[in-house]
Amino acid sequence: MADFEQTIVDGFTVGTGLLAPTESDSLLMASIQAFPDNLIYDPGDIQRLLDNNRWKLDEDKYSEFVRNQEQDGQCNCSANASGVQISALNQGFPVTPLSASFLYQLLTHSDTGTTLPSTFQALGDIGISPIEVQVGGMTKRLPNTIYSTRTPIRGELLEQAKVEAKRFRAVNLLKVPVDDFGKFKIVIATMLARKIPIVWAWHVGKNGTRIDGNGYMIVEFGKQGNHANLLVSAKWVGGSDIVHPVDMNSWGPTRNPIYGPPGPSWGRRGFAFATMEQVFSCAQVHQPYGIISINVDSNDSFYNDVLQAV
Amino acid sequence: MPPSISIRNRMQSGSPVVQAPQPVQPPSGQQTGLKLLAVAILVFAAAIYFRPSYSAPGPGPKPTPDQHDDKREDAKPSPSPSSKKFEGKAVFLAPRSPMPPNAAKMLADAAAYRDKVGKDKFDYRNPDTKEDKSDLVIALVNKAQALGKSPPCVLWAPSVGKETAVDWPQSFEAFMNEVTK
Repeated sequence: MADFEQTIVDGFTVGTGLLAPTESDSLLMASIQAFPDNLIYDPGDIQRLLDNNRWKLDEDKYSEFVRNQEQDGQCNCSANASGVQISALNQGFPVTPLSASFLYQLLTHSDTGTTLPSTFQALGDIGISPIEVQVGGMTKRLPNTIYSTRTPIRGELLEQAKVEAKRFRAVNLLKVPVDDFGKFKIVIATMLARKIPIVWAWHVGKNGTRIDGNGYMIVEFGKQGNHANLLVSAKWVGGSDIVHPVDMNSWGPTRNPIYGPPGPSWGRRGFAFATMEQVFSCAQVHQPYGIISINVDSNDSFYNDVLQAV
Repeated sequence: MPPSISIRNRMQSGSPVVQAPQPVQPPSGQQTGLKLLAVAILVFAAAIYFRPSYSAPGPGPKPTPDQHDDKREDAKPSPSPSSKKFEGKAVFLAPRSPMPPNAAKMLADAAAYRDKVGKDKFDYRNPDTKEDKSDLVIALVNKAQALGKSPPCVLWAPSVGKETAVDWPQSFEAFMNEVTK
C-alpha cells in the first residue's frame, strides 16, 4: 500500500508521490546555483523563439515520452527521467528511454514518494539507467513500476543498470529563483523558450485530474504540493505572465508502451497549460529547477566518427 | 546586369540584322544586282558577327546561349555552382549557459534541418563545454583547437572533403554558407 495520497482518474488509480523537503533537502537546494540574471532573455526574444505556436510542435515531439507512473509514487522520478530525455533531444543527442523506476528504487525503501532535491542530487551523482539494459548478452527491460507491481530490480540487472546510468547524468542544473514573482516569470519563460525542461510541483486536488475547457490544468491553491511534473514548452501570451507554460504529466496516455500501459487520458495527450500563478503556487516549498544539459554518452558512435574524420 | 536580361532587352529592340541601315535605293535597272549585293554583304556581316560565339570550344566551360550578347567580349563564365554539398556532422562546441538568443535559435534551426533532411545527411551534437568534463568533450575541444578554433566554435566533418572548425556562426544559414563556400 502506498504511503502517499492516491487519486482516481477516469476510473484509474494514479500516483502522485511528492514529499515535502526535509531540512537537509533545503540545505542542499540552498547550495545550488540559481538561474543568473545575465542569462535572462528580453520578452521580444522569448516571443520570437516561441512564434508560430511552437508549443504545438513541442507537444507533438514530446508526446512520445509521455509516461504512466501507474500507482507508484514515482511522479518526481518520472518528471526527471523525461526531463533528461528532452534535454538530450535538444542537445542533438540520440534519445534513449530512461527508467523512472530505477531512480525511484534507489531513492526509497518503500512506496513513500520522494522530494525534488533528493532526485535533483541523484541526477548528477548517479544518473538514470536506460529502461533496456544488456545483461549476459540479452536485452532485459526494467519494470515500469516496482512497488505496486512487486517487481523490484535485482541482481545483475540492477548492477548493470547502475553502470549504464552513468551515461545519462545531468551536468548542469539551475534552480528557478522564487523570491520575486516577476523574476520567477521571466526566468521560467526564458528557460522554456530555450527548450530547457523544468521540474516543478503542484497540488492535485479533487479536480486535478481534469483540465478546463481552455486546456488549462486545475491546480488547488493554498496547499504545499503533492505532485511533481515537467514543464516542457510555453505559449506566448504577453502581458505580465509573458508565457503560459505547457505541463507534461505522467498519467498517460502513453504512445510508446515502453513507458507503461496506456492508462487514463489526461489533458491533451498528457499535456496541459498552466498559468504562472499555478506554477508559482508551490514554488516556495518545492523550488523548481531546469535541466540545462546532460553529459555526452561515451557509447555514441557519432563522436568516434567525427574524431576519426578529423 | 545578368546576361539573360541583357539578351532579353536586345531581343526587344531587334537583332543587328534587322537594325542594319537599309541601303539607299539605287536607280531602277541596277536594282536586282544591287539587291543581291546588299544581301551578300549582310550575310557576310552576319557571318563575321556571329563567328566568335561558335568557334571551336577551348578548355573551360562551354558558353551557354545566355552568355552570347553584345558584351560577350567582357563576359566571364558565371561561377559554377558549388560542388560542396551541405552534408556531414557538426559538433556545436559551446557552454549551454550562457547561451544568447541567436545561438538558441541556431540550434533550433539545426534541429529542424536535421528533421527535414534526415540524420544520414546532417547530424549534430551540442555538448556542454563548460560543465561536461568528460574525456570525450575534452578530445573534441582539443580537435577544434588543433584546427585553429576554440569554443565557442563548430567542428565540422563533411561527408565528402576535409574537416574544419569554424567560429560560432550568427545563424544556422550562416554556418551552412561558411562550410560550403
